[in-house]
Order: sequence, then structure tokens, then C-alpha cells
Amino acid sequence: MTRRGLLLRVLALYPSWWRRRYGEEAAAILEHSSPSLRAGLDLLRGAADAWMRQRPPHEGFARFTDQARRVVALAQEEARALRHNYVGTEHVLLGLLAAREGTAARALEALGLTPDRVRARLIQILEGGAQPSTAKCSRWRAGFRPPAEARRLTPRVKRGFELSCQEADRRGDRNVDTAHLLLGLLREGEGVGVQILVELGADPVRAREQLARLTDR
Amino acid sequence: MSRPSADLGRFSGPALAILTCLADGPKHGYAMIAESQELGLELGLGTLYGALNRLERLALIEPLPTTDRRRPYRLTQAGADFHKAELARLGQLVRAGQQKWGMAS
Repeated sequence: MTRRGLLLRVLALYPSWWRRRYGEEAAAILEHSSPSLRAGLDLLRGAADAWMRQRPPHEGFARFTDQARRVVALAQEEARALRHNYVGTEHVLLGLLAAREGTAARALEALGLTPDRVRARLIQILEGGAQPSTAKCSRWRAGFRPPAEARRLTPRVKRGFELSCQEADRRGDRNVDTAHLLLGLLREGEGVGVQILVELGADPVRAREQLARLTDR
Repeated sequence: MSRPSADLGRFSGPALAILTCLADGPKHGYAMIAESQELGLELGLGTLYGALNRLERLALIEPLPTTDRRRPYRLTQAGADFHKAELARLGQLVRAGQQKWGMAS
């Protein structure tokens, strides 16, 4: 076995979360560098350190594409414009529509949703007294922790984002884009955002079909 | 800002090199290794990822979406502040040492 092959074998000694997180890039770097004893020892020492002292970092928005991050920012803006002190699934839905180049926006538009229609329906719901539930805080798994500037996301939104990451995993996609955000929202299933989607004729089944058509899967 | 340096332990040297690499924009691991070599530092892979893992958990750096099997990182505001504070601290040490040896700085 070549020295480089030996070094690649050392990567197998790292914890599985580490290999998921860094493994591919590390292997690519190994393939492009000259293998030395010193590099090998450093890699071995790193494996011990990874097991004993390192932990998987919270992923947060790390996997979000620029477009998906824009959706989060736009959702915050929508909430601010409506003078809401939280960001709920309804604002994320508006954010998804506002990021017009995104796959999610194109799918929703194809189903006849516009930002104006969604906003009008949202205001109706709010005036009808049905407050979006923000009080109940179900614990979310895997410690999804958004960055400080986005602290006001409701638990439902966080859960939806977590499910978006899972949707990306399921499809073997490394990054989370707007289509995954919409899928996550749909899977969460109970927010005001989904309620509005259903009322305006974009029920989960149709929305998923439309997304599949656009992403060609 | 003494907490991060305590948490970094033996990784504080490599961490400082990484922060220096990132000071002028986001970079991925491969670019960091290349740049640290230019700075005369040999950054092994085990050390690089050990330091990246700690820096990210301390929220001094944050990852960007992966492109082409590579994940770039960028400094956070806390990371930039910490980096500047560490450079100032080391600068003091360097100047004191140079003065004692009569080196012009």
C-alpha cells in the first residue's frame, strides 16, 4: 500500500460525525499533498483528539445556500413589517415567496400563490383572533441552534428548518436550499404557514408534486 | 477575551494561524494549509480540523455552504475581535523581546 493510501486509511479511525463533517475535504487534501511521517502522526493524533476532545458543532444555518439564508432574512423583514415580534412559519412562507428566483417561490407561484394573497389571508387570520401559536414550546431535537441575529424564530420554524436538513439528507443533497425549506415547512405541517398554503390551494401533496417537477426528481 | 485562549489549549497557535488566514476573507481547509505554509507553519490535517472544530464551537468562525467537496469558513465578529486582541497581546511580547536583544522594530 502506498503511503498516501495508508494516510487515507487513518481517516477511517475518526468518529463517524467527524468523517461526515470533514472527511471528504480531508481526503481531497491528502490526495493533493505529499505524505510524510509527520503528516501521518498528526493525523493519528487528530483521530484520538476527535474521539476525546472534539464534538460535532451545532450545524445551525451552515448548510443553507445563499438563497435559503436570504429566505430567513426576508422572513425577518416580513415579521418586522407586520410588527410581529417573532418569526413564524407564516413569515417564512412570505420569505419563500419573496426570494423569487428560488425553486420554492417558482413552485408556489405555479400553484397561484402570490405574496399579496398570502399576506391578505394572514391578516384575515390574525384579525379573526386566531393567534398563531408561539407559546407552546416543544423541545426540538439535535440542538438546532440558529445564530444570534435570528433568536426570535418560533419553535415550529426551528423544527421546520431541522426537517429541511433531514429532507436534504434523504435526497443526498449536501446543501439546504429553498425547496428543502418548503418541504420542511410542509413536513412540520401544523404552522400557520401550512394552514395558509392549504387554504390558498397549495396543499402539501400538490406543493410536493410541483417541487418535484421543478427539481426534476 | 481570555476565555477562548484557555479553551483552545495546545490549539491556540494553529488557531491563530487560521484566524490570520481568514482575516482577508472566507477560505477552505486546503487554502488555509497552503497559506500557512507560506507563513512558515506546517499545519497537519489533524491539527487543522482540531483547531477548526474548536474555533467553530467557540463561534469565532462559521462555516459556509460546501462547494466542490470543500467547506469554506469565515470569521465571525467575535472571531475578528478575538484575533485583533491576540495580535495586540503577541505584539507586546514581540516588542519586549526585541527591545531586550537591541533589535530595531
